[in-house]
Amino acid sequence: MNWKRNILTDSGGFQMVSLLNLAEITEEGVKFKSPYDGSECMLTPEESIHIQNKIGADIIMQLDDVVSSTTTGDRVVEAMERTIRWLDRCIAAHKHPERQSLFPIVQGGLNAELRQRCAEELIKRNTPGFAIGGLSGGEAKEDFWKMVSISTEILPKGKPRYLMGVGFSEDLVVCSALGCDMYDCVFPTRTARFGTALLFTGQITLKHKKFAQDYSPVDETCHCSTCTTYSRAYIHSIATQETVACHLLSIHNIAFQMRLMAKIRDSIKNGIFPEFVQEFMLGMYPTKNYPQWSLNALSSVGIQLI
Amino acid sequence: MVFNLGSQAIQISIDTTYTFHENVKPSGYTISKFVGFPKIPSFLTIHNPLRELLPGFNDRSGISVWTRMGRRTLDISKFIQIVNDFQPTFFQVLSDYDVSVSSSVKRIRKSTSRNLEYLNEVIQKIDSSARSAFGTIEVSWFLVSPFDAEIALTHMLEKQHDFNGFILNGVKTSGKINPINISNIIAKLPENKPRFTPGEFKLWEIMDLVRSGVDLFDSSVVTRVSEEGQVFSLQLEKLNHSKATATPVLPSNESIPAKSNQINGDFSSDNENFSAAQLVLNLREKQYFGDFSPISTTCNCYTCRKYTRAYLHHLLCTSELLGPVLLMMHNLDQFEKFFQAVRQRLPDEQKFAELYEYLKSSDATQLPISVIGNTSTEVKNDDSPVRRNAARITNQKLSTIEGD
Repeated sequence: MNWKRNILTDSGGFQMVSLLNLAEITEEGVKFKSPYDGSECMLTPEESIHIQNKIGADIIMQLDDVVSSTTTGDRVVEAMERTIRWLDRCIAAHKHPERQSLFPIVQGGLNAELRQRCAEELIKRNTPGFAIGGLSGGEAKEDFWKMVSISTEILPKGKPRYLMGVGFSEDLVVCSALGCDMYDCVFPTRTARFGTALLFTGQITLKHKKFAQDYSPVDETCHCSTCTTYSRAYIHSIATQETVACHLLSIHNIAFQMRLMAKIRDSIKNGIFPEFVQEFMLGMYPTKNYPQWSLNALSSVGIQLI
Repeated sequence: MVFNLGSQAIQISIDTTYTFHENVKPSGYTISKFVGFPKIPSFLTIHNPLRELLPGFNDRSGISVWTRMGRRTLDISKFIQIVNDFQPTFFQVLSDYDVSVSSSVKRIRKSTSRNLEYLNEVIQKIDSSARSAFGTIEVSWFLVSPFDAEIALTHMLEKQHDFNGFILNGVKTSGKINPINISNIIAKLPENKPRFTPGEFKLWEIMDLVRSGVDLFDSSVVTRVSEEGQVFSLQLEKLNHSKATATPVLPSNESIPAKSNQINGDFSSDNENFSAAQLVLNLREKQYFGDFSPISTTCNCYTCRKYTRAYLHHLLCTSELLGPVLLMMHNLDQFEKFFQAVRQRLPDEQKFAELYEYLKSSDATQLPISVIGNTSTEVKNDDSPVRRNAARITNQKLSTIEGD
């Protein structure tokens, strides 16, 4: 790939949710069926770790039993308990603990007690970091932040917490306030392919007619190659029509994500993180109609918005 | 910018950019600036040269272009408006392309008279000091009715001081170039005005056309090769036997483990099996699965400096967008090198022939022909077989030659 920086690989667990119709989950592992030719492929914790060992990423993820965040009842308990057993199998199968960090994933749906139990068990295994999974599906934001908060409360403060599947700019800021360190999300690039650019003032859908003769850059404050070369009018002309539009907006949206995270880090280092959050949220909600869940979440860690 | 366009111009076609022109105008930008290349000259043509055009859709109201909104008709005033809005450096004068070896004489006459009419309008209405017009000659005129063709050509030549170049369209008939046609036509054209043959030609066919007097070509073949997952590996440096290198020592490919890195200059240590048949490689082939060498050890392009055949093979097999992008960058670079070699060898007939034979003898430059057409369901009442077939041809997404 000619990528000289760090790489993180996922275990294939998420596909248990996204490809649920093609998956058969047992104690042994997950059996996926190809929609193209019907062939089957068995993914066990051992196999997942074996593949991740071969790829050689710096951080690798356990294979967990993932359920959709809108699932309730016994299945959630089963998944949480199995995740712990699969973690032990992953640890046993891991050939390179000295150069690849294996992260376990906290599960438990939207049940505080299950999440607590799960986190406590995972901590016992003394791994280099932790992930918080099973969220960022279709659940209510009010439930979402509470589950994140429970996890960050319990997980050791000296080890990274990786919140999987997050996300939107606002979520990144709020969850950083709640104590998360790392994130992944398909959102910035996926939304780019559909013609939407991310800004500190929210999103703009460049396909919209109102940008047809807007000759300013996508984001005035951005120095990425897209914003320094092209106008909104041009991107409007090609969005969803030419593949290059996907590239141009992906470049910008990723640059935006990097800038956002840099601002979060720098403000934390400089001791002005709450001020940054206030400024950021005001930029997103100039009329101060902040979402209730954000207000609640930020308030829980002592940040009030202006 | 990782890609250096050097001495090239970008080709923009009206069919793909039809919806743009009203939005470009208020900015005052040229089309070059609008698409992100403010300093690069632009050549505005009517159609994307890779698009197969359907017969039967031109008439008194104008010339058909297939835009993303469907078929549209360009009359001369709309055409002139588009040219004025885009401010291209060079442009093709509107032309009735709907002629072939099987056209009737009546159809030929319609085409010639329209082309002359359009040329006259453009000369009157567009300031030639601001931008250069290229008049279009349809080769098929000469094949069907030399009489009418000669008259048309004579009229064009009378006006030659009012426009700046010639486009020879329809050079390939039944998939082949007939050099006699081209040379005879070109012999009548003034020496000092460039000649452009748009469309997809194999590299040795380009050299045939150069011999006949053609100056300008577009990069259609590069797009086609890249879309097929193929790459040029022309190894022209080896052909030139230049060990003393005009090209500096290449930086090693960044993604190859240090031990097995190749450095330019010492061809004897090349583990690549050099043979004429390997001038075009299909990177989709299984053999490249574990091939950790760059496409070409003598190429300095971004792709060859950064990536291996194995990685490119992977990108193509998983249909990643990055695959075709990297292939295009490499293939355009090879194409430019090819033209440098052609220009260099032009004064020496023997050297020119050497390159020609080298390219022609490689069977691998015979590209598969896939038909790219239109699902235009606008079928006229005359339900001829040609139109029924046209409606069945699958529409494929074409990449434009904008150099992005």
